[in-house]
Amino acid sequence: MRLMKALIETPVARQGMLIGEALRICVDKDVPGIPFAADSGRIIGRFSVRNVFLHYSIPSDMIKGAHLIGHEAFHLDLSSDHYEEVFRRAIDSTILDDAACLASTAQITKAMALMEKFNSSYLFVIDEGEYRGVVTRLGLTRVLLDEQG
Amino acid sequence: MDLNMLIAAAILVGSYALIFSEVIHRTSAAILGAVTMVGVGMLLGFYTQEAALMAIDANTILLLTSMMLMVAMLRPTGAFEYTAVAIARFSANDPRRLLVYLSLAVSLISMVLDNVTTLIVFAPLTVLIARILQINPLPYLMSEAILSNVGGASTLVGDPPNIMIGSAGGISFNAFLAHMGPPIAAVWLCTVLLLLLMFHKDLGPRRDAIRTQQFDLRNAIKDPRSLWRVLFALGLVVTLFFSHHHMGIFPAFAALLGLAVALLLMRPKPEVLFGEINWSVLIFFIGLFVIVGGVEASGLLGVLGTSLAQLASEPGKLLLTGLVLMWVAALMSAVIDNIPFTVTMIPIILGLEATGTQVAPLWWALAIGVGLGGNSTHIGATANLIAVAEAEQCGIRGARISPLAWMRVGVPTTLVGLVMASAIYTLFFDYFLA
Repeated sequence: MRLMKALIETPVARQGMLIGEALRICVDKDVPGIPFAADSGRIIGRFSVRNVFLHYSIPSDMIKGAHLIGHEAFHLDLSSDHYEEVFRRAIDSTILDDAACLASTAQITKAMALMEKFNSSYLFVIDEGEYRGVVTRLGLTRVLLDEQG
Repeated sequence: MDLNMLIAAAILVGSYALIFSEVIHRTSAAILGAVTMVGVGMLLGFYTQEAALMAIDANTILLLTSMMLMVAMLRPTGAFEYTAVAIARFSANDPRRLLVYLSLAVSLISMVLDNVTTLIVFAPLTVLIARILQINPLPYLMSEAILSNVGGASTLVGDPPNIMIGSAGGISFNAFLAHMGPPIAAVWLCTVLLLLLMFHKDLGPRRDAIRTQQFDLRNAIKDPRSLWRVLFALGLVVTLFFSHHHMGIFPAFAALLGLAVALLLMRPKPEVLFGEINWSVLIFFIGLFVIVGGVEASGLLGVLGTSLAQLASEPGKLLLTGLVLMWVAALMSAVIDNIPFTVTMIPIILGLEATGTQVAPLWWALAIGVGLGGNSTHIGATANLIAVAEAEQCGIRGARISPLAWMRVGVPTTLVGLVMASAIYTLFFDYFLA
């Protein structure tokens, strides 16, 4: 149960929740994403901070050519009006359906392997269908470091 | 026309209908058509497995594969990024110069490398340049797509239909360039002028501060050693293209030789490099070759060739035939994929040649038609679709290219290009006869 030492308990995202609300949960809990639950309570996807910015704020051309943009380019940031408009939208269109989950009994190495497999830095811990919380790569690393004293 | 010919024609039409309807992916449709053609042909006795394999033009497939791999090795070095950003800085914040320079670069690259790959790399860079310069990327994306199609039409390796035409007609790289280069250069020039005229409102002089220094050129080249190595290999390939007919080697082997040198110098990870090959395109072509091979084996294309031989028997009629072929090819390429049309026309022209007709002008007419025709609609060429998709997803106001917006620019440029090419083709017909 070493995984539980790194567990961060969070609320889940639900249909109709605003992007701003979901982002606030992530920021307050210091996690990169939270699970998205159906009305039945079953986890059916995830809300990802990274995906919100990919979806609404970072054009693909800028990602492809990020290394070519000089330090003097001062007009590329999006306006606060843009972010205000994005944060007022419902999260539904930003939900990813590839929520990576594992049981609290799983070992840290398996958790790390799952993160690599899903190209993610966090996982959802679910025991017998019940959502327990989020574990992150940094959190697991902290557990390993703490064990060494 | 006998029963075998009718059945082969029905399979061809059915396969093409499936390809163009996009009910299933075009490659899946081509495989389905090829399997049906071979199966039915074997049952009826007009087609064999051996004939089907012989119908696959290995020169085309190997040349395309080799060039795809060369591009796959060149792309991560950052050469394309360096070129685009250097052009942006060189244009000194003049939108018209930027359009001409970017279009020229894309056209020149498309003469040697696949223009679809060129656009895939250049389109997002163009949007980024436009974003930084705070200008609308639409004129640039459309011009790059249109002029890359035009540029690619000038060489044997610039466009897949040209590879097929050159391979079937036994045309050397030099002969292709000598015959297609002059008319395409004239068309290119007219197209650029027309584009500058049509986009003049978007390309007015800038009054604000020069922003081109906001690009960081130092980070563009990611791997200089690999860049020089792959450029050396590409230089070897181009040199071999210019001399392959003297040395008695096929263009495919010229490209393979350069590829072998590049592989030796670069030592890339095979699982990464070979994953970059566009297998879907290659298998699509193989499927088409097998389908058309079946129609040819049924004797239908021979009958068509004999019928057309009467039409093209005299020089005057041959000129008219060439012009009709050019415009029909352009029209077909505007609405459907130009590859199936080219693959179907090739055995018909070869059938004409078997009757003693001088078919050289028809190869050029076909190459001009399929090369230029795709520019009139957004679905006419893959490069156009890439430009439209990039404009769509960039989110810059006024950048979206609707089908109608494409046609407003594409149709006039294509018409002017075709009229120019037809005039040159008619005036210098004796040259195209050689």
